[in-house]
Amino acid sequence: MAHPLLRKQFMEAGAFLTQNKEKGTRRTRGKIIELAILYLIIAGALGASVYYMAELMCEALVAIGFGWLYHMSMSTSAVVLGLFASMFNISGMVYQAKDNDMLLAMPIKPWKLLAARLFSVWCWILIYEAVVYVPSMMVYYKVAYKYQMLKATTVLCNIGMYFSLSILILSLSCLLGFLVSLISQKVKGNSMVKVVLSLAFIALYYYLYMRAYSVIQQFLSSASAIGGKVKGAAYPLYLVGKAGSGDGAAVGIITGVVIIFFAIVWLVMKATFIQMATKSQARKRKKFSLRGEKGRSQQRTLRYKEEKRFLGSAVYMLNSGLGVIVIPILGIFLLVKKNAVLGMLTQLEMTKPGTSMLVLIAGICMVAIMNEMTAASISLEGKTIWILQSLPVDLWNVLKAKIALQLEFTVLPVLFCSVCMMIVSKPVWYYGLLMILLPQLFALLVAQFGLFANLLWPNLKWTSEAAVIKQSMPMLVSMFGSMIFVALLAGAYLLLSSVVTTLVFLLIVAVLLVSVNVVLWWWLKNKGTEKFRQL
Amino acid sequence: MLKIENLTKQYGDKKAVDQLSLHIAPGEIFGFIGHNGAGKTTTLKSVVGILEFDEGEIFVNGKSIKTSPMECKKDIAYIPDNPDLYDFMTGIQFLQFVADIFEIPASVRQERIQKYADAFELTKDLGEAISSYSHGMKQKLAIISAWIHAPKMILMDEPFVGLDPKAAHILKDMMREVCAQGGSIFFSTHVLDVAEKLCDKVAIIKAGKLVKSGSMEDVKGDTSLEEVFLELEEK
Repeated sequence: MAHPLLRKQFMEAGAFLTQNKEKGTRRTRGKIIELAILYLIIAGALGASVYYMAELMCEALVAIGFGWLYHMSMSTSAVVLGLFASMFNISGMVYQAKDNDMLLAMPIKPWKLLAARLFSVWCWILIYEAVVYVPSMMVYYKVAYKYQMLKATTVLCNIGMYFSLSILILSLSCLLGFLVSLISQKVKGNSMVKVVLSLAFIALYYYLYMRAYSVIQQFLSSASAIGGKVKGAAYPLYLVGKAGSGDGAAVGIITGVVIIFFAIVWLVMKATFIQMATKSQARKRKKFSLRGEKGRSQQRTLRYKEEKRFLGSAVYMLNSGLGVIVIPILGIFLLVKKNAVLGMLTQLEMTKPGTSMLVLIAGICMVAIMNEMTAASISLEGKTIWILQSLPVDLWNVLKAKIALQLEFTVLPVLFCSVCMMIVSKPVWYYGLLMILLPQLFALLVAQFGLFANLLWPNLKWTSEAAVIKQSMPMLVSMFGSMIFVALLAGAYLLLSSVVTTLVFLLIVAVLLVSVNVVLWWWLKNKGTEKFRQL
Repeated sequence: MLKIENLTKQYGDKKAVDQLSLHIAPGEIFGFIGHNGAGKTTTLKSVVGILEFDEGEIFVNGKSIKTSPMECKKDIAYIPDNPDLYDFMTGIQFLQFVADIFEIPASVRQERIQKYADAFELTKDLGEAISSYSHGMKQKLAIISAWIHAPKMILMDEPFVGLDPKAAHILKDMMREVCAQGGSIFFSTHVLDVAEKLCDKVAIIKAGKLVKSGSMEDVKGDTSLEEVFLELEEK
């Protein structure tokens, strides 16, 4: 019985490669290979950025005998990435899966169904974890080989740790997913609960990370004096580092602890699975009576619909709207660290006048990319697209409402961040104006480009909204496309810096941004509405 | 009210609708019958402007859906076979949304929502999220949203599926009321008994082609609609 269940899970998981959701047909083998290569390139690009970061710290730490610190750092990064990527999958893939009722009605033991679902989640975790773990180990092997420290046992320990950490991520995801589902069933407005929990989780992670960093700093400055203290204070983390460095005993201890932890989580999930998977969402209904509510204009009501969709989905908010919080935090961070920032800006100014302004503007633009609502907004219409298509509504107004949603949640945070940067950097008036104008133009560009990408690659036949928000082509194209755009501008500056002043360069960028925005606006209004009508 | 002339819609090589012509006059309830995949939904979606068609013309109140889609859509309402509504809204928010699109004055919308929601006993649930609604409740909400702007022409795809007997009875009364006021109803159904009792005219479609059309008496003659339908299907 386990085989058909696993086969179903894998068919479901692999559908993003094998099925053309737009046409409802199976892709040809060539198309599948083409897509697989594309996803491998994207994973490779992510892995390459990890590789680069790992290279910065690996040799420095290994050279002074702190290889374990490197392993600890990279292993915790892999755990955090895996955990963040998978914790909400538990709720959607295990407890709220649409085929739960159907499968539970079949002669299948519920624990087998649970196991098949968790196995599928685990496979995803192995992929997420590999994006960090594999490149970081490659860097380590390169450095260890150089210092003649590379042993077969280290490689074996790393393989063991890779699987142990994946089970740890699975256990933590299960635990958090279980808690999220439990709270969701009790509390109304559960998308907000999920968002608050996630943000609390991120805040906790950064708090612990900063604490660990300060401990590490102290350790590095006086290792022998406080080494024992550190080992005592964060012994499990130390053990993770030792295991990664090739300490077989540490691998054994960690694996044992992880297995016990997973066994406890498994027993809890097994005992509560049917109850959690079948619990009715019905709550005591509040009394409702019709009151005279004011009507809205057509444009306003379309935007209201987009706002309701965005604020009603934790997955959407967390994956496409984190910039709402992160962008102002960046501004506040700059104000708090004013002196350090000023020092850095002064150094940049010495390379070429105006460079610091350019770096600050590029910085806001990069964080503005965190808001990507439009890139999933067409696909999210899903099966409800008939509503907009059958109503007497100008489809250009529909597209404008989607752009407006993104701007609504981006313009003010970006403006706040620009003002903070101006307070810190005290620019001359024309740089101040550009510091306000360019990030706003870029925010409009990201919003329009996301919509453009989603109109080119729509998916209206999803069963889980996470599929179009987290794992979709338009989202990736929009995010990486925007990043590449900023990177290309930075490259252009390096090439042109001897020919033009920074001010002239920024003015050229402003003209370029206006031009691209106008072109995208024209395309969306004419071709975009036509594409939307034909969906 | 609705004139379909030589409508043809192809999916690849397959003709889903082939040279279909129908005329629905004001005050008529028009039933559209055919087996699964016969082309009923394609026809309905073409009429409401969701699907583009390859040949032919569709006129709503004399206006072409091809050249004046907005004008046509203002006069019609559509309920699909599966009422996928905005799960992230409450019932009342969805009704307000549709009323806003049709620019219905606040007092009028309030009165209509009250009237139809009370009739379907849905008023107390309008404050709840649509995601918590049963299929029948969603169907009732879709019906109220269709009636909210008092359209001249209502198109429905299997409207009775999921409705309890009482709600089905209310819907039939509402359909008759629309026609009594000069409007028209065009709906597809597999429930031949209902079609026989309710419809003034009926059309039977097979493999995209119209095989019989006319007043209910003319189509069924001395037999039942079911017998006529089965006989045509076997040919």
